[in-house]
Amino acid sequence: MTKSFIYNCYGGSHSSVTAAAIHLGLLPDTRIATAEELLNIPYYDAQVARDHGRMRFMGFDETGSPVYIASKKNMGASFERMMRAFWAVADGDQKKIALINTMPYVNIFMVIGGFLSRRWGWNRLGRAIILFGTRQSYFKFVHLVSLVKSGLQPHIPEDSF
Amino acid sequence: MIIVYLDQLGCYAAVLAAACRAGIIAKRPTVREICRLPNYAANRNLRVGNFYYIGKDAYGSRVYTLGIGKAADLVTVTAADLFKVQKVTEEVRLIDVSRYNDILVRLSWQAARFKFAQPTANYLAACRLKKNIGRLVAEQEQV
Repeated sequence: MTKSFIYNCYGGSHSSVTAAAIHLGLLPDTRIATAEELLNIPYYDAQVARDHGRMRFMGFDETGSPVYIASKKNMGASFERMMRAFWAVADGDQKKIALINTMPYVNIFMVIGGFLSRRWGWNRLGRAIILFGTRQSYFKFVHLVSLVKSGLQPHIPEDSF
Repeated sequence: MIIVYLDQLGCYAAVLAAACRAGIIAKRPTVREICRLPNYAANRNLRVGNFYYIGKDAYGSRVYTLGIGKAADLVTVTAADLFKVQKVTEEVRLIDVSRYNDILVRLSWQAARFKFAQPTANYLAACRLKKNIGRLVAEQEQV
């Protein structure tokens, strides 16, 4: 059964993109990626305000499952609940989508860097800070991806709907 | 087709609009009829993401309501993309009616958290919704 993986974070620009790239093998999972490798990832530090909410396709993983990223701004955990509710309304099988929240792994540097880069447009300073922050949390994203791939990622029970 | 009416909690303006659509309620209901709607004011814990099945309209389309909090713009975009990428064949229409829950309706939600105040809060919210019923009905007729 092909499952769609949807990594989501505040802006859909940094943590979700990094985790999705690790999932797809675009970034290494045995060492911390370099700044150049991170900047070469599609959609990394690229989202603009009008892109909020859009789901972006990142690629297919080794099992042929599609991987997407999405931004949810400050909706928090209710984003997954709402998306699963929409999916239930459309008679979708809840096992066919996996919504992975990467916000718990975001550190203060990523928050500040993302704000400076995306909100204020201070790309040079913002990117330097966000790259530092991403590399600080890098192995947390690797751990998250390993949990997702092994099926141990926590999810909302189906009988909630 | 699937029609989903969206408001903050999924059980106020959305239920009223959905009930009009499904023909459960008249186009000029009384306040009591609004209070007696199934799933009206059903969300007591102010939690978003609850959806309610209302019924089928005259064309056989299933009508639901869903609580989406304040994130209507973002959530409708993401949901539309989700349906597209997952190749949902049935048409799903999302109609946001959050604006018909005015400030007094929203205040009634807070009052309804207290059990003793629920009947009064729900009645007052229904009174406010009844004032907006004309525009609600006009909106759902355009779907």
